[in-house]
Amino acid sequence: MMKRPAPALAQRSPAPPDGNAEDEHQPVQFVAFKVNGDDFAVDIMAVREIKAWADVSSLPNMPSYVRGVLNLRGNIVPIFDLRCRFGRGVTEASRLHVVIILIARGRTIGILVDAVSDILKARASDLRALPENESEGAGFITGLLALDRRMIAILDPDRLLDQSLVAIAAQAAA
Amino acid sequence: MSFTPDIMDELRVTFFDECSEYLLRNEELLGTLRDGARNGTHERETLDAVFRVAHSIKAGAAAFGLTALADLTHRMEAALDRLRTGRLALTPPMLALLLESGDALAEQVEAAREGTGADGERARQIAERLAEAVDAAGTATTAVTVQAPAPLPADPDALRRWAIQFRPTAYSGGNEPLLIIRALGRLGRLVSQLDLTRLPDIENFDPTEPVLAWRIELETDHPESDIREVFEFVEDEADIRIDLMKDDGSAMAAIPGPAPATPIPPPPATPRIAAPVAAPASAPAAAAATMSTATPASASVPAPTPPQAAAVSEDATASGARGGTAPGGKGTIRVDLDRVDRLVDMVGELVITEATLTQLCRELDSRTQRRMIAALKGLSAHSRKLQDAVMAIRMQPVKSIFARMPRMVRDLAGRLGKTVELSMAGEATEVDKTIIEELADPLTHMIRNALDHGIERPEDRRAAGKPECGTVFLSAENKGGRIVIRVEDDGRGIDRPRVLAKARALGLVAADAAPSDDEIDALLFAPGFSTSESVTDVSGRGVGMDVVQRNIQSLGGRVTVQSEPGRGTRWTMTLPLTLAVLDGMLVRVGTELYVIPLANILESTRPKASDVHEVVGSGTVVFLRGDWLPLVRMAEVFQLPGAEHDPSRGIVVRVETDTAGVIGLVVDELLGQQQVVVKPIEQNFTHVRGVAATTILGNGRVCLILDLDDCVAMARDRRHALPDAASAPPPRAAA
Repeated sequence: MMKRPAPALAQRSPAPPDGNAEDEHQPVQFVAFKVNGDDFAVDIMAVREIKAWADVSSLPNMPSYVRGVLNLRGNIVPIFDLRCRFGRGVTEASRLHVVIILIARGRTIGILVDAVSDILKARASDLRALPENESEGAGFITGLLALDRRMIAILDPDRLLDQSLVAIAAQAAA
Repeated sequence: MSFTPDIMDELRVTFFDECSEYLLRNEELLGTLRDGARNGTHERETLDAVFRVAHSIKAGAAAFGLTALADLTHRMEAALDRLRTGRLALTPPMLALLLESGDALAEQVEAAREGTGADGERARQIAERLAEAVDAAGTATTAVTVQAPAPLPADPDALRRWAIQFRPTAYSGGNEPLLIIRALGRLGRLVSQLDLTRLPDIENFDPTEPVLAWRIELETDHPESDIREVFEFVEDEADIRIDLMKDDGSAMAAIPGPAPATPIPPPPATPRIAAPVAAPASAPAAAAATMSTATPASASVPAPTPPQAAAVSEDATASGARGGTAPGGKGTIRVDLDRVDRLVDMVGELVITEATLTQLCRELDSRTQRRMIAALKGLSAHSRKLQDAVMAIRMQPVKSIFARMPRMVRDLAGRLGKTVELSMAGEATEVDKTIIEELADPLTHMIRNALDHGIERPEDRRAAGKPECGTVFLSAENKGGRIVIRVEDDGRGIDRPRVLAKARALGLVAADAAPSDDEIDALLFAPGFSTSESVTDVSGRGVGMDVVQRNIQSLGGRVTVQSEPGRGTRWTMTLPLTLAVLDGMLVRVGTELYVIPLANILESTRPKASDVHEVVGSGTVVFLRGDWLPLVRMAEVFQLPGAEHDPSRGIVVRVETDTAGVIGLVVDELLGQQQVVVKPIEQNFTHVRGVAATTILGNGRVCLILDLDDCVAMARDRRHALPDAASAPPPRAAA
């Protein structure tokens, strides 16, 4: 398995010229998904696969957004419930819900979302800074994409994992 | 070209890995020599083998520029060569010197591995003593060994030694140094030394530019013109210097370079020459492996007396042929452990897939089902065999640790003034490599204990009507999927009154308590317990059997002790054969399933409601087998709604923990015993309290393997009130 951290949009080095490179910034692809009606996106390079929700085995004494672990072809993968992470309650997961398998800090993790909506191409010029008063999911939402009048929040898997692990360690110490 | 340091590092790692093997083998061989010397058996083959060990380490040491190590092995080699050709007698002092040199060698290897360049004084002294022994042999042996022909050639004119410098300046004309050196080898006895001084940094390396040079020492009866002829075609493309050497090798000393070359000992008969010189062309490192070591102090080493080719060529051929194979004599390959682990993983997956198929098969109509089941049985048989075969790759005989023990026993017995004989059985018993590595310390500790505390002094033994020589028996055997290792001694046994007195003094046992023999024996495992009156350097530093027990338990094992006063003590360790799979008990708590390691389970029972008691402020206990057993409810530990709280309606599993003694774990239901493939949860997530690892069940679901000590601690944290079971060591069921 490739262990490659997802580069942030701004730091991304240009891809090798493919003949029709007109912009100094190559477009970057994102996987867009919906959680609780809101649009999010994650760098496609961090996405390993997308699969339908299947029951996970729960882990004891974890924050409720840690849904548990599932068996991904022999790998034990933790699943984070994004809706719950945003403080909107635990997802009533069904077969229609989707798990996006991501690489974060070299580890394989999964996020439970409502649906995958699109594959987006974006340029650095499409990127907007976060509004100052952004509080939900503070830390692992690293920017906004303005596309077709939509605002899409960009999720950084590395930071999502970091923050979750810090929270879990803090809870265990308490 | 930045990978070069990595490659060197890798080579270094391989070298040290090999060294460990060589050192073990050396230890074993020296043991054989010692025993052989006692029985007066012929030791020639063993000496050959020790020689090869020294030679192999020397070659690697030279390649990595570990001069101290190379020097020591070189002297060992020289001495061993004389020993094996009968020019030096294997006297007891000589044997002792060899044993000491083995120790020094281990030290040097360790120092080199750690990169601490440790104190080389001991190695230097031993190297000197070896050199002295060799010197003495040089003058004495002609008189002693009758059958060996006089070491000096009858006609000095016929056999002369030449120092040749060969430095190719271009390769363009088909100048192939290997062929030249081979051709020289056909003329006589040859030692070539590769000069790497002109080898540039890898950044500046130009493969078309010749940088290698050779210093060659050739002993031949051919005239100089024959030697010149060999170089005929390369004269214009190389710097060549050919000098006749004096008997003391002084011509060589004139040649620029680190030091005079001393020949690689096997005196090669002409046909074998091709083998040692084949290497220079392959790679510098490999070339260094065959070159003789340059020793800064070698001025003190006399040029070896030229051995008579006829007398030794047979030996050289024989040992050369054997030396070509791995030390074990079988063909082996070195495989990265990660690769094997990957294989183990895949087989684990296969077993799980198979279980899934079997489950799906039940949904088929009956005709298809019957045929599917037959086919699945075949699959199942094969995958089981595959699993065994893959696990077998990780298996190693315990011999690799057992082999270190005789030496330790001998040294220790000497220091303690005791006579002890160590006998061993079952060295071929195999166990997972990870376990082998973890086993060395506990085993060493137990044997030290046996010698220090168990075996009496000779006079005491005589007084007790026992043979003066004590016996320690070390054995390993396979039993029911586990390995059982025993350390038995015929010493004085556990001095129970003294243990009890000590335990009372330490406050481990109440003054009025009257513990049973088993309970007293179990006190030996209590943290900080040691009966040694004074702290010796042998054992009794207060970190004793409790550490051993903890080590063993962390491997999923168990230690027990049995003792009979005046007759001896027996320590028994049982361990799983591998850490990659685990025998577990599948239990249900509420809707969740968990695996409890079978090694920790003593029994399970459903107590009567009347035997369960709430102790105010300190949790629940159950009266079981005449004792109060503290209970830990999994429902509370993991806060599982819907799980059983009432022990009389669920099941109490009596488990042994490392830190809290024996406790009763309350679960809803036992679902059965099964072997599971262990998968760490930390790989993609983080440590989860109460969870030792995970596994995947037949239906593909992840199942958690419980960490019992964590569970107990969590229950205690929740209520701050579980009876402190650790305050007194729990009675332990003696095996």
